[in-house]
Amino acid sequence: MNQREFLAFINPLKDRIFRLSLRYLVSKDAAEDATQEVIIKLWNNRKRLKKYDSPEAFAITVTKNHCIDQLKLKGNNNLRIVHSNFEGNESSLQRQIEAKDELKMVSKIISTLTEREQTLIQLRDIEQLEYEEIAEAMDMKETAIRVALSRARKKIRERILKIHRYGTATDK
Amino acid sequence: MEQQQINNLLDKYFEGETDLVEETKLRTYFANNKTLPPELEEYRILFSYFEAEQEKVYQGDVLLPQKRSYKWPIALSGIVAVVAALWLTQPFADEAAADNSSRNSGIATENARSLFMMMGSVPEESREKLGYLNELEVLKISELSSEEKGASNLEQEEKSNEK
Repeated sequence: MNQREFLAFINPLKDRIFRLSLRYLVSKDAAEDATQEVIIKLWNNRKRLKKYDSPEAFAITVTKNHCIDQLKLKGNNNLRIVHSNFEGNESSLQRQIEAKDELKMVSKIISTLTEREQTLIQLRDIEQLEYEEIAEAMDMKETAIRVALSRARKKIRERILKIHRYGTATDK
Repeated sequence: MEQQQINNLLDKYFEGETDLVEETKLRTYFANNKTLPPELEEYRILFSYFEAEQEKVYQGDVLLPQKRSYKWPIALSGIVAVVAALWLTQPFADEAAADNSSRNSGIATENARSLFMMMGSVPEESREKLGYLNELEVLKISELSSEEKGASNLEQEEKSNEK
């Protein structure tokens, strides 16, 4: 795989790598750094890429492992701080930008899921990947993915209902 | 009617049984219907979140490490050497053909020797410049420590005098 072939491979993937990194690392800067580092890792493995059934799935595996390493490295501290700022935003100013607030709320809820559930939601509901591809990237069976995904989706639904209904109730 | 279908799809979705086509159907339904029955409002929030997340793009560069290749410099210096050799030998070959005296070959040797001498002086010149770099270091250090300023200035002068 030469440089041009590699760029053709990575260009449609780089946003997906970035979004997955963002899911793990939360901070935009950290996610951008991670994306660049994952691209270099893939570049260094470019000879092996063709041997995989799905190089795209391999790219996801590399991203996932890299981000988990990063989280361990940073002791899970300063990278997660961004999220905790969300709590207790019940001011009227926040109500005015409700649409944005709603998105933040869902983001916050998803961040309370387990790492695996978050990854599955990211790959299926946001990246819209086939179960086959997710199975390869996550090294999981398709049935296990469906079960885990169902559980994750139900958790999100339950928490949205709770916060959303509670939120509108206190408003009146 | 449509709402019934959506409710069925939602049930399937939460059981992890929808395929990508059905999930897209849900997504577009919630994106296109701004006024929804209140019981579906929560789902609209969820699907519009997924929609918004898809929009995020990587704004950084794709930087690949440039493997330092020695192929080109080597090839280039090879070409230079060949051209130089041709250029140097060509006039002498012509002259030698025209006038087959040993005098010309003597000149040729002389020319070649002077050329090598010239080339020999190049590294020496650059070494001199490196010497200036050392002086720069001295200068920096002397700027830092004001006490020794005078002394190093003296050194500086001595060195440039030597030059």
